[in-house]
Parts: sequence; structure tokens; C-alpha cells
Amino acid sequence: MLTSKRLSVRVLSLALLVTAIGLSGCSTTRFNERETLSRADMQFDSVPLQAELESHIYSSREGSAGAFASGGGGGCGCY
Amino acid sequence: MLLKSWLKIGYLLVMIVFASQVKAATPSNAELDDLFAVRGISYQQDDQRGGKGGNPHLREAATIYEGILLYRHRVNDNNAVQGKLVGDKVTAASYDDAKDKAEIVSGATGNNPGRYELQAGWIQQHDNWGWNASIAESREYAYISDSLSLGWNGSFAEQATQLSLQLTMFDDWVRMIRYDGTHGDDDVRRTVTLNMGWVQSLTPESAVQFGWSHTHQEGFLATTFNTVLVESSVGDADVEWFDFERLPDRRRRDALSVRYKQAVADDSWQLGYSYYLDSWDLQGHTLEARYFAHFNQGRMQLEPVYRYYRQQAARYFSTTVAAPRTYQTMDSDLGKFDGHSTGLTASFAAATPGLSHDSWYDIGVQYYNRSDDINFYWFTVGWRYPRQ
Repeated sequence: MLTSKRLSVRVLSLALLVTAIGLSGCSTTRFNERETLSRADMQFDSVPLQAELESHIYSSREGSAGAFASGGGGGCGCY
Repeated sequence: MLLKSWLKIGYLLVMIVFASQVKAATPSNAELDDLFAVRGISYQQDDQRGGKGGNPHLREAATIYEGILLYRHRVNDNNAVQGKLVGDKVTAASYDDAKDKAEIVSGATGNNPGRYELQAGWIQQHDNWGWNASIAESREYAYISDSLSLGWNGSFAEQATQLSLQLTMFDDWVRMIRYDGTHGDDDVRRTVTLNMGWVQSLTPESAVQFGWSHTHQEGFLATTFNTVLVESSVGDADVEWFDFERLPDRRRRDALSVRYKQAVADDSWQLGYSYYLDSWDLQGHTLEARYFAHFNQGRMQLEPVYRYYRQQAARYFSTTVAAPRTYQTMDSDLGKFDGHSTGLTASFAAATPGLSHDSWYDIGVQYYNRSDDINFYWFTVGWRYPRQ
């Protein structure tokens, strides 16, 4: 059972990798078209302190970790 | 002749417009600029059903106050140093229970109710690549952690593709204070996490992020003061007693995530999904939606968020135990539940008394409702200077 789940994770990882490579090849967003993309609210986790805090709280009260931010346990007795 | 002149003028106009746009998008290495940030958090956790929520044999109510100071200083065009200090004050019902049983545990509440963390780091950023390194130490009454983190980022295809890698290693020390006051040999917990991120611009108004977090943990991975209630019968008599929580000394954890961001005029929205799986057979699904609304020419931002989380129990979790097992836990965080979380953060840009630049002021609240009746909420108040 575990093996098949691990396999699923690897297949998903590979699928994401292939998709990402495909997207990068198709991208037509040029350097001079990035004004909107450069806005603070267009950055993922533009306020790192807030993202870290939320990640820390979720990881403390849930069995999983590292959903959208760094951190997979360790560093605190709260996990 | 006239046509040539118009072509020249047209060419010049195009170049002026193009050049101004390029200038606007030139990397400013803003992530290196001086920054001073302060954040305060008040966290309240409620154990519903008269303390029977979550693990029914453990009171899980808790109150935590946390303060964070962050200072970053740009050394030159490409380098910055950064320091962070975190302090916590914790009051937990489970500690209070333990205090009644053992004086040694009371130190966790009575004399040393807190935790602190110190972090120092270096950031180097060039136009298309950068790296960072940091070390940290955190201490609480029964837990000490030292860590080292190394990161790299790179931009490709005119910054349309951005890659990042972050390797973090924790070397932790666990003081073996049991729920009944007995004190075993201290133990260690080692954690290595590798985070990989890929941000890809799709259009001038949208981007997608792929992430993979892989963690390997070794050592004492149970919680020292957690208990398991063993309920059995001897003859006609029912007997019950508390046993230690026991969990394997290895855990492999993987999280895959994808997030999409879309600009809508001056606002934007974001949608994300993450799938988690670990070697204890715990699976988690996270769905998150955020909206970033701007007012007053960008000097005010409202960020509502909704997050849905669902997890299946780890294979060692059980709500009833008839006889001690090799591995056993009743920790509700490892059980089956789902959770809904909603929140709102408001940010304002305003003058800073006595200083030349504006600041960002943040205030936020978030509420989390777990299906096993553990609910919690937290308030945050923040200040960031200067406004960026």
C-alpha cells in the first residue's frame, strides 16, 4: 500500500516537472511585460514573516507539514 | 524622405516606451533593502466539549503569545545581513496537569514558560541568481534546536522562470520528561528538509508555482509527555492505565504543491492545492484561496483567506488501545480530521513618526475549526519599515 502511494508521489512529481518544463517552453512573458508580475501582491508569500507564522501554526496542529512554505518539522518541540 | 523621418520618429518613440518599461521591470534586489519588522501574535486554542475535543483524555487548551523582531541591513549592491529574534510565552492545560504530578515538569510552566529563537543570516542577490545562508538556535524548557539553512535561487528566460532550492538541517535535543514526572535519558531528533520551488510566468498577469518539500527525520519523534490510555479487563474487572506514546524513530515526509496567481486590474487572487504523504501513512490535502484587494492607490490592502484541510490518520494512531503496542499514539494531531480556516489581514501604508519613510502596518485575525472539536484563533499586529 505504502509503495503504491510512494509511487504516486513520484509520478505526481514527474508530472509536475514535465508540466513546468512545458510551461516554461511555452511562456511568452518577456522582460518588458513583467510590470504587473513585479507587484508585491503578485509574489507568492510576499510577506515572509506572515507566511512563516501561518506555516508554523498549521504544522503544529496538523499532521502534515510543508504544504506551501518551507519547513517539514524540526526546530520546535511543538510538532 | 518624409517616410524615413516618420520611421525614425516612430522607432525613437518605440524605443523610449520600451526602455521605460524595461527600467520599470529591472530587478532592484529589493529583497536586500534595509528592513525593520516587528510582529506580535496572540494565539488561543480551545478544547471543546469540556476538554473532550481532540484527544478526549488530554486537556488541550493553550494560550501562546509570540513576538518577532526582524532586522535586515543592506551591506552593498548585492549583499545583506539579517537577524531575527522570536520569543514565546506559553500557557498550556496539559502542562498544568503535569505540574500537579511532578515538580520537575512544573519548570515548563512555572519557571520557564517560554521559548526563544535567534537567527542570523546572509543574503547575496545578483540580477539572475542569488544564495542565502543562516544559522539559528531555539530553546525551550525541554527542547533545544540548532539549525543551518542554505538556499539558492535562479531566474531564466528573462525572469519568466524562477527556480529555488532551500536545504535546512535541524539538530535537536529532547529532554525526556514524561507525563508522570519520570525522567529518562535525553534523546536527539535530526531533521533534513529540502524545498524546491518553480515559479513560472504564464502571461503578463498570471503565474504558477510548483513546490516539492521532502523531509527526512530521525531520532526521538514522539512527544515526551504524551500518553496513551490502555483500557483492558482482568477477569470481570475493567482496568485502565496510562502508557507512553511510542512512534518510529524515522519519518519521511513529502509535500507537493501547486499555486496559481492571477492579477485582476489592481487586485489579484491566488488558489493553491497541496498533497502530503509520509512514511507513517498520514495523508493530507490542503486547498487554499486568497484575494488581495487594494484601495487608496495601493496604500491599503485587504487579504481575505480561506483554507480547507483534510487528513487521514497515521497508522499508529488509535482512539482506543486494549493492550500496549510497539508503536502507539492518541495525539489528535495525528488522527483523522478536517479543518476550515478563515481569516482577514488588513495592511495600511502610513507615515512613520520621527522617520522619513512610510511604514506598513498590519493587523489580522484567523480562525481555525477542526472537526474533532479543537478550535483555535490568532491575532497578529505588525509593523514594517520602510514601506517597499
